[in-house]
Amino acid sequence: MKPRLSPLLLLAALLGLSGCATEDQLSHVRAFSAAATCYSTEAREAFTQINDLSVERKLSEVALKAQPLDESAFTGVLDTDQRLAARLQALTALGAYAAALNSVATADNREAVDQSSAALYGALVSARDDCAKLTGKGAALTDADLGLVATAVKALGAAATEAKRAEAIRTIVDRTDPAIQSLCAALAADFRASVDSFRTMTDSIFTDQFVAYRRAAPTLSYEAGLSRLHALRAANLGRTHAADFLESLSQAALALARAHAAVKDSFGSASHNPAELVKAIGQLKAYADDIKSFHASLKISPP
Amino acid sequence: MNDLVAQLNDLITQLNALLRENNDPACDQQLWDLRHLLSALRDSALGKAYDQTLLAYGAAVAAMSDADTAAAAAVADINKVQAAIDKMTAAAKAADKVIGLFSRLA
Repeated sequence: MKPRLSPLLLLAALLGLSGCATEDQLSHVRAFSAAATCYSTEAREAFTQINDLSVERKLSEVALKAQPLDESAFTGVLDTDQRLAARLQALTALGAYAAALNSVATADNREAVDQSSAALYGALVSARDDCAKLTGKGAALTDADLGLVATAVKALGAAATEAKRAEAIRTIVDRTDPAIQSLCAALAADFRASVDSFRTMTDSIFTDQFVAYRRAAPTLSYEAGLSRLHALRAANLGRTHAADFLESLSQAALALARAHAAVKDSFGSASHNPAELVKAIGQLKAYADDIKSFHASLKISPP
Repeated sequence: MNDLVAQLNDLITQLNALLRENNDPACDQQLWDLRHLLSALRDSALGKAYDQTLLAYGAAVAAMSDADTAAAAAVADINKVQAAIDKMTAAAKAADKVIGLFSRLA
């Protein structure tokens, strides 16, 4: 009977590797990472702008000579007790986490595995031929046999990679989920609490500009007056729309939490619902796009 | 706390509307003084609302940092698969050389 190396043995070992990450799962992890990175950047910017606007409102009163200048005019609502620093630090950590998760999801050595497999096949063929010369017997193994071995080793390498990847993602998202849920709840609460105040601050600044224009109007040239009116118009638009950006950030924080929970379930829960995952990731991507376009089209810094 | 912030913001918005409609500098100053006071109260209440969520941020930073470390280790682990295959290839080549040597000696 023709002796055979058993590629089937290798394939059996391959089949024994369970829990590999599917391409769908990985694409959801990558989508989550991209949206979380975007969110981290935009939320940092928003907190800074809330703080800047709270200073700008006070400076506006001083510039209008409605209030005297004192040092408190330069202190923002988030400046004390590490309020701003803690939020920026957490959002930086969220961005770093998203990048790290993405690096696990995208770590790719398939090309290197392919090259090694080809080298292995060449070495096996050469060894088989030399062995045949040495023993004076015909080749015990066909090229097809050796090809199967090399292919099985290659598949084993790829499967081992995917199994390790799935296990790593499962562990990471599982351990981090409580912190993500807590962080997102805090972000949603903060932005929600800021919406009305942000709108009122822009309203106060707009009002000061409005009154300042009314006072100065009799002495302004046509061009200067028109320029001031254009600035007022921009401030009026900002007053109307700027707070919507914070509302979106609040909703996006909740979507981020739902998406992370869905990713966690997709890697670990028997009750995982793929439709829920797709929906959660879809909502998150929509919010991320919304926030990006909001920011691109709207300057929410003080008028 | 958020209710208080909402009520103060509502009052400030009404004062702003009065300031825009009013055109009496003497009255304006009284409205501004009142708005200044309410805004300071609002900022204080808003700050307290921000403090209520502060603890969550500190805990999140620690958890994310641990996750980053785990992710770096996982990527290194994935790359170990490559190293194992490289070793297998090297072993096959070494066997090839030994057999070749015997072949020439035979």
